[in-house]
Amino acid sequence: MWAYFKMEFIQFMSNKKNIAIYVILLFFSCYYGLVLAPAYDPIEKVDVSEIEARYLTNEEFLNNVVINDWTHPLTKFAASIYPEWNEYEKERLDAIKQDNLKNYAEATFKWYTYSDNIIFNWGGEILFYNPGYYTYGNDYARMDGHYAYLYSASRYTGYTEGESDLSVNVFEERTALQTLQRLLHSYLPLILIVSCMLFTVDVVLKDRRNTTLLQGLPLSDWRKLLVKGGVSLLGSLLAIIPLTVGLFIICIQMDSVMLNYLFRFIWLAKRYFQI
Amino acid sequence: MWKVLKTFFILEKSNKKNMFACMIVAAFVFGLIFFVKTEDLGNSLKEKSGEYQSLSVALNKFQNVDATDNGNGSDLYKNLVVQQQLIAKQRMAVKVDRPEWFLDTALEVVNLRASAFAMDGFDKVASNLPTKTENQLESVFYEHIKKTEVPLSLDSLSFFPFLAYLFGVLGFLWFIFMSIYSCGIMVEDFRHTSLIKGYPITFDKYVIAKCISSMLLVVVFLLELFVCSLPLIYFKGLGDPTYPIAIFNGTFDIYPIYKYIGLALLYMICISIFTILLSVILNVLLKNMYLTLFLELLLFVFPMLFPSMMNFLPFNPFNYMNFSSVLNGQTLDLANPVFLNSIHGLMYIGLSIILMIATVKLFLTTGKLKRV
Repeated sequence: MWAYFKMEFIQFMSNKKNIAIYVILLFFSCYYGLVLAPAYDPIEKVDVSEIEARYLTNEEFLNNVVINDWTHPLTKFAASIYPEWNEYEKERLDAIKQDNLKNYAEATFKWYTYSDNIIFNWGGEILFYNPGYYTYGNDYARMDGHYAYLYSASRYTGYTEGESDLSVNVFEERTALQTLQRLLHSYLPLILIVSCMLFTVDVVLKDRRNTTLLQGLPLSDWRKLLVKGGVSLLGSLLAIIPLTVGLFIICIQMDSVMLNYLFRFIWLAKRYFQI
Repeated sequence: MWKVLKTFFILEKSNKKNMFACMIVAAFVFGLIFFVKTEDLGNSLKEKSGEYQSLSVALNKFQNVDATDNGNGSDLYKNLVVQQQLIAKQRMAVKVDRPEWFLDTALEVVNLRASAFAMDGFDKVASNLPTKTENQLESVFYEHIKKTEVPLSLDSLSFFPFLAYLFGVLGFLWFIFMSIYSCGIMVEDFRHTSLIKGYPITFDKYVIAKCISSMLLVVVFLLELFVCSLPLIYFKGLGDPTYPIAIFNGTFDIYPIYKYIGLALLYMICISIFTILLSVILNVLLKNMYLTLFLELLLFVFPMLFPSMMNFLPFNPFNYMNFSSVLNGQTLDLANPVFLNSIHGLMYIGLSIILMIATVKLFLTTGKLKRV
């Protein structure tokens, strides 16, 4: 059975169609790593000018507003919510300007929680999420924004509590692992399934060419199919290798956590095994 | 020669690959119709909303200050605020169906954008605004409409506007389709070399006959594109074949739809001949259809991956294989802009076709077939 497995595997790997699929996947992943991944434009960015603009606008309002009996209720409302909001905004701004990412993550977590609380519960028709969510025909932009703010808030708590190295790329979900996670939510599973289908499409039919030869093998049909299944599974799993190349390209560009781990691993290996 | 052609026709007629390719072309056209329908392309309300939204994102990066002429905001801020107002006005013009308002405001927006490129801090908002080339194309388009007083037609699913869109999309795909279609053009015959060696003609004539029969099928594909779009005449009407399209061919220019389609067809036929000949040569040299396909696609993506090579090798025909991007002037927006002229592109492709025919005649004729 082992010999049959080896034979099938060699046939699988030397099949020109399969090589073509591997090469196409390699192409695709390189293209993704070089062109598409750097062009990723998230809505929740680390944008100093945006934070600063919001901070200055609100600060000026707070400095000039006069509250008395004749003030409009909305003005009063604004004057009551902006002080805390701006406090977080200021923390964020100072932290990012001093490049203190831990503090930035902490302030941003507070900012997202507070913003979402205010906008979702009290915002109504006056306060809005980031304009990026309000696309044409999207009736649920509010819910999209709500979800994204809570998601970001939970992300940033993770950054404050976790031990990992922080960078702006981590905040914007651009690192290799985060890209992989994002792709797994979208079309990567589809690509894997389709390539698996293309890999295995002729795994049984190719035997028709040499039936007499193969019928002489001392193996039951059931075992043959089992072995073929195993080979196809292994071959499809190997498709991950060309896809990893793309990830590696993203790693190098985005000074990723993964590369860091890799270097740490190599360093440890060197230390322990005295290579 | 005629007899060989007849043999080839009989072979091609029974070839399942051709049936399959025809079906793919038809499926592509119908798929594109549904895509245009579901994505609601050409809906100016949607387009303007998108522009409005990206302007809001851009304005988020500025402090809210007085944006009137005497206000203390920066020039760019004032510019963006006015742009947003004008876009809102355009949306209203679409809603109440006043094309003349739409046109006037469109011209104003285009001029505002043109002046914004030179302002301080433009890099900050560059990703939210159209590029210089896009803006220039728009400007040329609206000025032409203003001058000739053509009514702004908005239904992108009527026959001619759809064809223009279809050929625009095919500009990206045609080379890939052709290289997949023709990558095995000689390999299949090499399986029965003894048969081919028995043909009473020379190798170059054999290649030319093969190319002619493949080209006839390409003509069938091209006709199929038109035939599959015909139902749109019934559902959405013919559309205006003289409706202008802004393109770049050395200068920013206006082509009517029929001229654009004609140019696209010319390009597609040239690209088809080019690809078939390239496949023939690579097939003879490499004797493997997958390697042929791989090499062709590599040559195709090479100028896209390394755009600086386009300046270095302006006569490389592969710069022009993606002819929609040439006509869109997309290469002008690169870090170091490349001026690709569509007419020169046709000349370069034509020259390479002649070169390849000469190669087949001079190098592949002499005894290569015997070594197959």
